[in-house]
Formats: sequence, structure tokens, C-alpha cells
Amino acid sequence: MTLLSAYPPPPPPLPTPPTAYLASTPTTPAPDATHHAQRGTTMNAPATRHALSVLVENNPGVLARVSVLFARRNFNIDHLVVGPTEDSKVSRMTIVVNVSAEQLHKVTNQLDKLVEVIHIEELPDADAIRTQLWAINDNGPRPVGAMAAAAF
Amino acid sequence: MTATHLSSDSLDAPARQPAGASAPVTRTGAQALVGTLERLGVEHIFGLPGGAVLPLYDALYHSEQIRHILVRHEQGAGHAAQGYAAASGKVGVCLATSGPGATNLVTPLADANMDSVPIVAITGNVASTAMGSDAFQEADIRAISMPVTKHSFLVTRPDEIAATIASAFHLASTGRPGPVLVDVTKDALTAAADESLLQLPMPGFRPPSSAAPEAVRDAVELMLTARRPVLYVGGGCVRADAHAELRQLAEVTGIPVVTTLMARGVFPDSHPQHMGMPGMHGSVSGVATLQKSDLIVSLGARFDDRVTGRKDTFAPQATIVHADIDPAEIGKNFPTAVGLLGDVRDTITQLVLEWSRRTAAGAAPDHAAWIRRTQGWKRRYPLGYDVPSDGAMAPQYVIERLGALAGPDAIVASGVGQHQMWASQFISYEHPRRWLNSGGLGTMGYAVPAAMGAKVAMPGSTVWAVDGDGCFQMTNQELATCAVEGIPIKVAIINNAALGMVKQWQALFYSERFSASQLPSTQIPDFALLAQAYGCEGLRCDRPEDVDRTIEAAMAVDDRPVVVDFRVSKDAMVWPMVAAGTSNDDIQHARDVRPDFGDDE
Repeated sequence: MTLLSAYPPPPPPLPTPPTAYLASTPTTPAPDATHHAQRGTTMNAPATRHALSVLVENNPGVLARVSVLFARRNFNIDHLVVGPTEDSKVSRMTIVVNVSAEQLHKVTNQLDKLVEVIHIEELPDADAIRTQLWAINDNGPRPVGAMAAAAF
Repeated sequence: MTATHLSSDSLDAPARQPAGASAPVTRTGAQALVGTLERLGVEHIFGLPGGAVLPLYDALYHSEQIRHILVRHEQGAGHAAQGYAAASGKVGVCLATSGPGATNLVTPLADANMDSVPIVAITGNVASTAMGSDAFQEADIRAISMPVTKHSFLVTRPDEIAATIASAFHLASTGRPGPVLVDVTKDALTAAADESLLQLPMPGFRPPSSAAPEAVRDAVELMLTARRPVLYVGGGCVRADAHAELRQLAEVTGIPVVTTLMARGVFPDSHPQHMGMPGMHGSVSGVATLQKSDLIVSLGARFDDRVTGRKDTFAPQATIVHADIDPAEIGKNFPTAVGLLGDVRDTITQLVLEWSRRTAAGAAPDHAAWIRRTQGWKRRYPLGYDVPSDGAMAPQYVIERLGALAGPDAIVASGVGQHQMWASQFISYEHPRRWLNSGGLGTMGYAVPAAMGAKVAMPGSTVWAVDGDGCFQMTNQELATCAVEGIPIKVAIINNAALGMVKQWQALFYSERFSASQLPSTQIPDFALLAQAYGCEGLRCDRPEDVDRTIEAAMAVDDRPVVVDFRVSKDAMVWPMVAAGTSNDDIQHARDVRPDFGDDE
């Protein structure tokens, strides 16, 4: 599974991310007496990019199930990669979404309830997919079509 | 990742064939499916046949354990399975064919998903070789049902039928209950099936654990130090059969209790600590107790928008302790101080133990002033209604008398709208599983089929469907099922010749412009005649002095269904009310009457 790191590529010049992807400084209010003014969880906290690595059962329809869940919560998926793992019954989905940490927590909770979802973890680097596709670009066959579009 | 396999020649394998059979008899997928249902203890199925499930119906023909109840519309089958499950606690089963049969089940599935009702829906599908070819009566029900079920299976291999059905029952009834759909292709039903696989592996399904002891300690610490705590009880306590434990917790702590629409009956209405129902049409004391509290102990409830009103003004001083079996519910709508993840019955038992330990060790909570205050609200703002000025019957009076005459052991299923709110307000519920309604999805037409399912599950109980004239016309075809199958339910139509709740909103918020909300239900249809056409007893009542006599006449009929057309005032409204999108603080006890909650401490 560490194929890419076996060919340490020179750090590719990343394209300048669109401004929407720039991590904005968190503007959480200080937890003082005013914290009662804001009740209920909000859906408009600042959004940042998060990458989830999700192990799912390798069944037909599981991609639809996961994407329906994101759609139902009105989340847009930035990047999505599905691939096999060493266990033929299990697939790995790498999903990049542009949401606030709180929304991410909620969608992860919902995702975890899906019967076919076995394990979820957040990848430390949200640009992992892009970086890896860049690596492929430099060291192997060029990404084509939709894959290339997703990378750039 | 281990599947449970049983080899057919194993000595430990349970007998699959009738005693004395020497060679293993291979059954078809359909026979395996019916055999699995029998093994799981299923006694009733609500369904309607069609081309894709003919093999299954052929296998059912021989079953002595399973009674199939032929409905008139698949939606009725789904709601009947819901009523069956909600009244008995068992898993309800409904069956439909491919295409339109399956899509007609979508509403009950969504309803069961919102209200956490354990049902299994079995649908046929076209042969796997024809799938994707836009074959006759083909619909991708597995995908259609994805957002509205707990899980949905598509079975194309006969060897997986038995395991999938068993897993579906396990999923539906374990953890947070919910609907599970199993779609089986016709070729899988007809082919020979190997039944050695008993359960699917499902490595991603983790049954819930019990609440962490330190979380229980924290929760009890908050309950002890809080000045104004409230137990906010939801439908989860009904599903978990936690009524006895809940009563113990309430009595040992003395904390006021509010029960949501889904939880009516799980805590007796007659109990002095019961503050009523919170929410949009809750009692003033129920809403105020929640709104003015400084600690909300949520037990199997989910902070629905109909309960909280405008979120940013909900219970501004309250800390939240949230007990739920579903980790995604904890913190979903409000930040939670302590989360108690696990079966709510188990959690309440732990809370009682910890509370007893702490109070025995000398902890002395001080809730007396708060309890006095909540009792004051309950005394000052009781539920009530005005006698209509037009001289017609008050619908609240009809429902109140119905509740009184039917008694606390009767099961009441309601539709959705004004009559639902009145039935939740003016009938006193003393026991759990006596109040069935569509709370989350708000499905008009739920009452008649759900009452049918409840009556099948509890044949010894009186089952009333309290329905509106609008709701009744959505699913009244199931009266034919009740008449033919011998399911003597009783239906009270609260006939105000309108889609009452819509009309109420139009009266309050749309300048009395009653756009498409009035029905000619006093002329068309004639409900009494309609009932007779369906082989039911049809009664009518339009004077208050006849109400008791009519209800008693309906109660006297026990050999067929009864429908009573109560013609009530067209102008009655549901009060109290927290208008949508406003704060619970702005509750109106009656139109433009705002209660005085007194000063905060």
C-alpha cells in the first residue's frame, strides 16, 4: 500500500488553490457569558477541506449509499476515489469534502451508521489525493479524463 | 469477518427437514425464505402479491405458522407492519411485488425510519438477468429506499436468501430500531437454495455498548447540583420498554417529567410529576418546564424542531445530558455536556443506581422550589378548549369522551393533523404502546392500517383509530381488509370538513385565505354508507349529547369493524401553540393569550 512512497518524488509545485479552499482563521467566539446567545448547532461555521479514508464492504451499491448520505445532508463532495484493498471483500474510499469541523463530525457519525461502512479515519493531509495524483503524474502514466480533472 | 456456516452434515445442525427425512431436501429460494421467517418466529405478514413474488406466495401457501393478511394497497401493508411492531415490540413484516408494489412501500419505510419502528419489508424484483433492461415492473427499490431505511439488501443469489432475511431481522431490531428492506430477484426465489449460511458477516454493524460508568457519574452529578432539572422522555423509552425503570428514576429523584408525542404513555399521565407534552402543541407546563430548566436529561428523545421551537432560544440556561442508543443523535442538534450512549433502559437503571448511591452517601439535591414552580404552571394552565360558538360539537369533547370510555388499556392509533394533537392532549395515557402515531414523517393515512396491524398483534385489546376526514380518505381501503380478515378495529372520524391543521395555519398566518384546505366531507363521501359498503358498521354523530351513546354503540360491536363519523365544529383550533419558527417563550395558551411564567430565580 506504500507504493507511492517507494518513489519519493520531488515535491511537485502545487497549483495555487482556489480561494474557497484557503483555511480561514477560525472565528469562534470566546467562551464567555455571551455563549448562551448562540444555541443549537449551526450549519454555517467556516468550512475547511477534510479528507476521509473510509473502509467499506465491497458490495454493489455501496458507493451510491455513501454518496446518497452526503447528498442528503447537502454536502458537496470535492474529490472521491474508490479502490481495492488487500482484502477483496473490502474497498477503500477516499473522500474530500469542504465543510466545517462540526459538520464533518456529524456526517462522519451518520456515515458510521451505514451497515456497509467498516472503518472511518480522517487523513491528516486533505490534499493527499492531489499530491498522490501529482506523484503519479511525474512518475507514471498521466491521469486522464475525470481523474485529471479532479486533481487540478 | 467470520460468517456463521453450518455444514449440512454436521450433527449439531438444527433439523431443517421434517423428522425422519433421510436425504437433505433442497428447497427453492422462496421456500428457504418462508422457512427462515418461520424459524425467526414470524406469525403475521401483511402483503399484496404480484408477478415477481409469485414463487414466494406459492411457498407461503403451505405455511401453517404464518398468517398472510392480504391488504388492498401496499402502503397499508407497510403501516400495518408498523402498527404491529409499535403495539407489540416485535418486528413487523410486509411483503410486496416489484416495481409499483415496492415503490408503494416507500412512505411506510420513511415513516418507520423517522420513528424508529422495527419492520422488515420484503419485495420481489425481476430476474437478475433482466435487471437494468427496464423490464416490466422493474424498479431499483434498493436504491430508492437507501435514504429512508436503516439498510436495504438486494439478493440475487438463492444461497444468500436465508442469511439475508435473518440479518435483516437482526438489523431491524438491534440498536436503534428501523426499517430494513430485502429485495429478492425472481430467479433467486425459484432456484435451489443452499441454506448453510445463517447470518451475513456485516463487519460494519456494531451493536451498541452500554453507557460509560464515568458518564453516568457525571450525569448524576449534574442532576444533583442542578436547580431546575427536567427528564425529557422520548420515543426511545417506548421502543426500549423502559417504562418501569423510567418511573423508578422519576420517583427516586422527584424530577419533573415531560413526554414527547412519541413517548405518550411511557410515563403515566396521571402521575403528579408528569408535566405534559412539550412542543408545538404541548401543554404550557410541558413547554415551560423544558424551556426554563437548567438541566435537560434527554432519555431517548432527539430534540426535534417541533419540540425545541426556534433553536437559538431553546432552553437558554439548560445544560444537556443526552442518553441515546444512536451515537449520531448525541450532539446533533445541541451541544451536549454528557452523552450516555446505549440502550436507554440499561442507562436509566445505571442512573438510578448511581443516584441512590450518591444520595445514600449524603448528597442532597435541592429541587423543591423548582418542583413547586412547575406544579404551579400545571395548575394554572391546564389543557382546555372552548365550546364552539356555532353550536357544533367540539372535536376535543369527542376525543376526550372517547378516551374516557375506551379506558387506559385501549390502543389509539391516530392520523396526522389537528385530531392527532387533540388525541395526544385529551386522551389520558397510562401505559406504553397504547398510542401509535406518525410523529416524525407526519404521514396522513397512517391511522387505519396501523390500527389494523395493532389489532392483529394484540387481538385482545380494543383498538381505536382516531382519524381525520382528510387522513381517512387516504387509506380507508384497508377497511375491506379488516372486514374480510376479521380484524374488528374501530375508527372515529373527526370530521370537520377540512384539512384542519392546514386550515388552522391559513387562519393564523395566511389571513384566512383557505386555499385548497376545505373538503365537502359532510356530503361526499357519506362515511357511514362507505363503511357499510366495506362490510363495516357505519355510525354518525353530530350532537354532543349523542357522543357517549354512539361510542358505547361502537364499543358493543365486536364482530366487524366500526366507523363513526363525528361531525364536529369546522372552526376548532389546536391550542396551546408555539408557532413554527418562534421561540418556546412565545407559546400561546389560547389565541393571543400568552401565559405568565413568573420570574426566573
